[in-house]
Amino acid sequence: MASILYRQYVGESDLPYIMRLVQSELSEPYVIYTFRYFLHQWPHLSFLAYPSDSPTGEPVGVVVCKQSMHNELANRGYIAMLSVDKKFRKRGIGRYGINTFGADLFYLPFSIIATGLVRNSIEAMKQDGVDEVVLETEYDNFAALSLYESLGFIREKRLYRFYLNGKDAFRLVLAIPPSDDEDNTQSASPNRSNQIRHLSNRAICVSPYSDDEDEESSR
Amino acid sequence: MADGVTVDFGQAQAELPGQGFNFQDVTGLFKQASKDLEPNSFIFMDDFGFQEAMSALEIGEPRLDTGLILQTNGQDHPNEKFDPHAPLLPEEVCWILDRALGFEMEFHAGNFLAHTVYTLIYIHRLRDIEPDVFVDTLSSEQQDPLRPTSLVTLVLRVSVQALLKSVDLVWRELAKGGMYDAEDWQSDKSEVSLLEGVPAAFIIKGLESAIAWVADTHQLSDDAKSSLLARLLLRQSLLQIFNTDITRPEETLKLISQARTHLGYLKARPPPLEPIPTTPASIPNLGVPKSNSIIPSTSVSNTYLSSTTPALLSFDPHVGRTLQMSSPIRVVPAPSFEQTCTMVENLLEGLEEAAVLARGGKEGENDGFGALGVWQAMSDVGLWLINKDRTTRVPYARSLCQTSFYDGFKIMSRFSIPWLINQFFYETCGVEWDEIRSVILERWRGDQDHPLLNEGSPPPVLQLERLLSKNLTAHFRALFHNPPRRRRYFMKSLVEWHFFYDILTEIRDGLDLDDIHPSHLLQHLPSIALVWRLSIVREVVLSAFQLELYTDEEKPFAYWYATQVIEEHLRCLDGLVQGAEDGSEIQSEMQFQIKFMSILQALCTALFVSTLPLLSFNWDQIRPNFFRRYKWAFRTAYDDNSQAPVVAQPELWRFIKACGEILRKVEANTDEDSSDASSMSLGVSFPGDCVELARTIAQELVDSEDCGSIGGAWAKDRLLFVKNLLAVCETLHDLPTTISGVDTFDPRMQLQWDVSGFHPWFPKLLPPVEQTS
Repeated sequence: MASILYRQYVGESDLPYIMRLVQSELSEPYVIYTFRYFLHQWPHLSFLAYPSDSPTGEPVGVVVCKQSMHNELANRGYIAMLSVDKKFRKRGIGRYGINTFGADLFYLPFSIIATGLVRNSIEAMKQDGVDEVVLETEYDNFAALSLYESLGFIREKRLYRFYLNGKDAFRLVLAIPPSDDEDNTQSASPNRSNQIRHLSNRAICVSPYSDDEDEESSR
Repeated sequence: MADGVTVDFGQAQAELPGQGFNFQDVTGLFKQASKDLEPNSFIFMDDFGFQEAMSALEIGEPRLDTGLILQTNGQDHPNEKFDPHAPLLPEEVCWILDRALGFEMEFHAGNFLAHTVYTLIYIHRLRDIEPDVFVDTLSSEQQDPLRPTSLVTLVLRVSVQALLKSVDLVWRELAKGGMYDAEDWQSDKSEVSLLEGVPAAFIIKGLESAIAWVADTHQLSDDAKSSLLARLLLRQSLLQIFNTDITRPEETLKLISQARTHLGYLKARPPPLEPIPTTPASIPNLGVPKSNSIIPSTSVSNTYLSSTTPALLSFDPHVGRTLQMSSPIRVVPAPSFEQTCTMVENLLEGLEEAAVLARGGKEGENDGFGALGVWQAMSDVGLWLINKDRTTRVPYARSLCQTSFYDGFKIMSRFSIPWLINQFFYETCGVEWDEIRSVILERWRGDQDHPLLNEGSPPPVLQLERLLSKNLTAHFRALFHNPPRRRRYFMKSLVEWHFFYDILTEIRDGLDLDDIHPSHLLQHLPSIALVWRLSIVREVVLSAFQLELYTDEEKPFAYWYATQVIEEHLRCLDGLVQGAEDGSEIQSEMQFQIKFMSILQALCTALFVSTLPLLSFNWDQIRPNFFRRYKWAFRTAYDDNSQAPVVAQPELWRFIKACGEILRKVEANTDEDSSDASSMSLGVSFPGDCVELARTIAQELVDSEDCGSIGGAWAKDRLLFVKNLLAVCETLHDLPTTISGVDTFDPRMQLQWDVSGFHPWFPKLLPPVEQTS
């Protein structure tokens, strides 16, 4: 039985498949330069999903991301595009039950493939010290909202008439807790421990505050 | 030409797109320039960012290339078949004007001009329908008496001019900066004239001429006259409204009343319907029909346009491809007649609210109690009361509210900043700032423990006045942002309100209050800032429900935190109300606030307990999300610029402790299933009991019709919101009142939040799902 394989973007040979997957799904048009902007600078953050019985065939899903310092304050990852082929979308659980890994690929829910893609990209971002992962999605894209919330994202803000069609967007964010190594280092910092002692009415800030409500998108 | 590259222009011209447009093939130049690039390589220029990538055009991509003319269904180039000289029937003119009005409302809703108003082709061919340019190709004997040319050269022409001028006046207001371009509205004019240089008075005179012609002519039936007059008069009213300064609210209100009357006439005379599409067919250029094929004039109601009418060619949704546009074309569907009328009604309602506010709130009083608070009340209830026909006021109306509150010079076009500060204190504690200030100066002794404000240094009153000057005007203008931006502004402003609290605390600590009663206002000075700050915190927390920001996991904390904030707010009000004069308006308003917030606190407590099962207790994920959600509370500015501790900070550890206590008690007392079980065994009141308390207070307010003292023209809306809270209490009436009820309650199955149909903050209770074995 077929399962899913995930691999990183390797080069321009992947680009036509990625464009085909993305352009068929998204309402906003992207030129090829937009794809190249992400894929050439952050190839290691973009992943494709393949059925294991056809690993050299066409991918059935893709995620495209970037990662950079945001306002010099936070290492921010950004999920620019996520798409799964319509033929592999099934809402809810597949026929073979919750654990469909290894089941006939046709019944794998969209959310499992998409979740796998997003998880791969987040893990890759963590390798580069990501503090937070963000994306925007339409306020009524319930499939995407449900997917990301199951991964721990919250809707940080609502963006009024964000899209060209006038729809609102949610900015979703996943705050990445510091790793255990970072925790030990920070607790040894004298400034931080002073802060804990003297500011009993201040909780400890995890991500620095930034007034970024005026930026249209972190892309 | 590059070496080695030759082009056979003869053959190439035959194959190139845009044949006949004198294009030249420059493929060779690109090949020459890129000959050193390796396959699969890509060069990034410096600063080539996402915006640059998105700005690139893909020639031939239909979603981006606005110059691409698609040929589908034989319906290409509609504006090439459009003939501005084609005479029109009265009902056809009505149809055009109504559709144009609908698109104008879509512009007000935030769409591009090129996708809406500009799709009316007559806008771009105004010159062709000038009377002295309009070519009558027929002799007077052949003219169609049912299609008088004045319908086009006068009625339609001046209506189009008035439409453009209306848009111009709206554009100027929106461009003042209170509304956000590319968010609330789209400013791109695509280099199309909105008759900016033509005085509105000139166009209004033109409308008067058209109205006079329609009223007097013998060439139109009575029905046609009524229909045309309704539209002309409405357009005249709208233009006059847009041309009237909001600082003359009485005049604006009169014009709005007239516009409503004319809108009523319009609704009674709907235009003909569009023909039902059959097979796609090219539309012939009709020219002027012969007399024996004249379509008899009929009433415009319940009729259809002819499928060959030239009116159908007068709108081109792809007109943007001929204009200077930086955004892709998007076809905005034309609203129906009914939708158009609803949008006009919403516009007029928003304008009326702005004019009433500009007039000064309470009838006959310009600066009495509530003159300031009414702005807050109007903004709040406007958002809190769900209106299915209007999700938010149009940006033009919101901009007018901002302009009329503060235009950079005057408050409400007549008051000064000192008035604002005085009124702020007066409506918060019943005493004006000038009076408080003089007492402060009298009693100031300095604070020996303060590094800067010891004896000899003056009290920081100037600092306080500067802070308030800056923040009060910004706060009241921000009330009219779109809801998501309004919330974000409030989050950002909370640190400034804390600074205000900090200064008042410093002042109070530096006063000689030995002979002052504990209930005296001076003892409670910091509460003046706190009641504002805490109400903003409450709004930040609760508005997140309305904006659908919270995941299920976040809701228990949100409700719990709201109860803590309200508790502090009630403590402040308890202190301030003691010093208020009996029977005074400030006392009445405070007492209303106390009851209103008690209702909210009880409901929030009920829902905190009821939603506890939504918590995953995965603190590794909850903690970082908590700090992200409430990041406004943890700004370093609090530490850097103030001494006083922040009141009612969101504290996750206290929440965890509260949850733990409840869960321990539930676990320990699960076997107690008696209606006599004391609420104390849970630690907090049972949800059902909280709802009953809220219901009792709400019922009391509704029965007494008490809506405080600052609602002004929106007092009834305040009461309506209390009635809505009563309805919430009714639906939540069956929340658990026992420990076993709390233990078995499943919020996922029984609580349903419906922010657009039920209540912005609270869910309704669904009947329990029957368990099947």
